Amino acid sequence: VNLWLRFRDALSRSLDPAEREAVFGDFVELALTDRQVVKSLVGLVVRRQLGRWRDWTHYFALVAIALPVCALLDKLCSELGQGIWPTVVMWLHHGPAYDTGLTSAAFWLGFCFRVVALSTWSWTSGFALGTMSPRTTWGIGVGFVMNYVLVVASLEAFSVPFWWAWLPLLLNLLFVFLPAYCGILQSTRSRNMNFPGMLLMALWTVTVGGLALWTQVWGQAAMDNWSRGGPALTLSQLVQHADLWKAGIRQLLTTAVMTAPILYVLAIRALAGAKDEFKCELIG
Amino acid sequence: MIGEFEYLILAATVRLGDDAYGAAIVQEIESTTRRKCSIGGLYTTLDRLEAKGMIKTWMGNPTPERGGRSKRMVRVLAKGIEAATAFYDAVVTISRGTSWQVGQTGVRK
Repeated sequence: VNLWLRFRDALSRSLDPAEREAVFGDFVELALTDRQVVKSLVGLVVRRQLGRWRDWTHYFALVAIALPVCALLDKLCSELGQGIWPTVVMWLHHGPAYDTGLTSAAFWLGFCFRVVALSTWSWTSGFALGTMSPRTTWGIGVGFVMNYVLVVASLEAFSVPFWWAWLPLLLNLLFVFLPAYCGILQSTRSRNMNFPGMLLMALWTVTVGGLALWTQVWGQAAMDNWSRGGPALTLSQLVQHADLWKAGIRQLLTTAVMTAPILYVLAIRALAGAKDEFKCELIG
Repeated sequence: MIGEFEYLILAATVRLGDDAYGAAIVQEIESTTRRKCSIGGLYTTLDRLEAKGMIKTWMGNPTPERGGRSKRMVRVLAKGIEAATAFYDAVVTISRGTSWQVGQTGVRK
């Protein structure tokens, strides 16, 4: 397998189809070797990417959206990882409900909601970034990963024992990187997603965000009950008594920040739709 | 005012006439100036010149010698002719009577 050809094909994907055709025709006519083709393509792709970064909105997307979202995604994922392992260890030694005051059904339901919320937030963040800056999607994607790696590295993940280090990384890979990558890919495929589709996506994001927030309150309710010497709260007790309004400012802010990218894209799309309608009315 | 590379592209395009497209412009510049001309540099400069309204580009018909791929054809517009003329006049005017001998400065009378 010719690596130059693979590299060439990977690079050429970032070009517009018409330009790709013209450029590859020129390469054939100039009888360039594979190495020269790759060199020329690198020059063209780098120039194109740099040219696209002249627009301030891409910096806005990277600094105002990608950076806080990456930091929060990593934090949420770490919390998720920190919640699993100690609970499993506690269960093995002391039986269910020792650690958190939650029954296993309540714990796993809350865990599932948080996993779904985390995956949804990662997917919608990737999608929103790809939609906001379609021509610099992959540049932002690299920035997204770089931000993430910096945040993970700053947490000194590797200074702790094997499972502590690898469990969060595995969770990051499964529930953050993979969904975010799928979101970016989806944004490149469906640039013109219709408004109802976008609205459904935003509603889903807000709903899972609310569910994740609600189930986080379960933990506090169960701990309060357990500290007073009460029994582990069952799922039905939690559903009946847990109060979403007890969610702290920090949790509310986290949910708001994670939901913001898709709401921003929805607002932009709604505004663009309203503008188009206004233009049509003017022409009519 | 346009830059040197922009001028070279405009001049090569005018010289090639109806046969001006990516590879032909590269060959024209390389053969006349004996300098390397990269496809990346050419295409980004073509975009810039087109954005300034100095040239017009369009996709031509596919040809067998290019593996059935289309050419990006180029034509210089009036604004491009004007800019290239201004650049040429500036270079000619500032070069008139200038001594290029090493160690010697000033203008020959």
